[in-house]
Amino acid sequence: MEYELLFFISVSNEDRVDIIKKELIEILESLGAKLLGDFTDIGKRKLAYPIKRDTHAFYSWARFTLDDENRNNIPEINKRISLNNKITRHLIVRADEIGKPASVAAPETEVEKLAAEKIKAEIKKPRAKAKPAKKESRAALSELDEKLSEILEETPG
Amino acid sequence: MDQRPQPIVKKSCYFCANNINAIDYKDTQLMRRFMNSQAKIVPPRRSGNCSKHQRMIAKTIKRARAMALLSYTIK
Repeated sequence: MEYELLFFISVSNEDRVDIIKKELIEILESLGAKLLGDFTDIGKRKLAYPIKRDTHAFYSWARFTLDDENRNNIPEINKRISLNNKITRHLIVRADEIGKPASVAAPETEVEKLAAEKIKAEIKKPRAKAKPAKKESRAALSELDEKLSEILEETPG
Repeated sequence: MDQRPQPIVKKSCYFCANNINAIDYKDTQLMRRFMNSQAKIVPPRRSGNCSKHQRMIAKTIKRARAMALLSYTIK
């Protein structure tokens, strides 16, 4: 069975990424896993929410296979990776659930995009009325959203 | 008063229509389509997803949230 391992580390550990990868490979190979290709770096990316006061993290993933007789080793792999303090979080999923490896979109997150949109909107608005208008529009937006979901929940189908 | 019932428009499942049977949890662009502005997972009656694919997208979004690729909430 094929699996995918994704992990991310704090940006302060970024220069030690090669050592961390080696440690991971050791863990995997000691428990009967075979790596399919090397680790693919997503690179430094903004976190959707801060973790331990970090706003950015370094992401990387790799695919590996595990023979049927070693299939029960997944919890053990998870446990050993969790014991590594340098790795903030990790995830192992079955590869057939997520399909073929695809290139990941540019490391621009939704939050940044939303911020960019807001900035654009603010530029369009007249400067003098910028602050009160912004508050109103935000309130109106959330109200609209609530109403919309209410309406949509009422209508069948 | 003329009150005709609204015609029920059957939405088609995005994944069935495009023949997608696996969703990558790293594909945040795709998952954003099935979340509302508060970053909640939209119900299938709104997204039009079939049960199978709704379960799939919900699981994928939850995985991405745990990995901080998507946020749990947007204020």
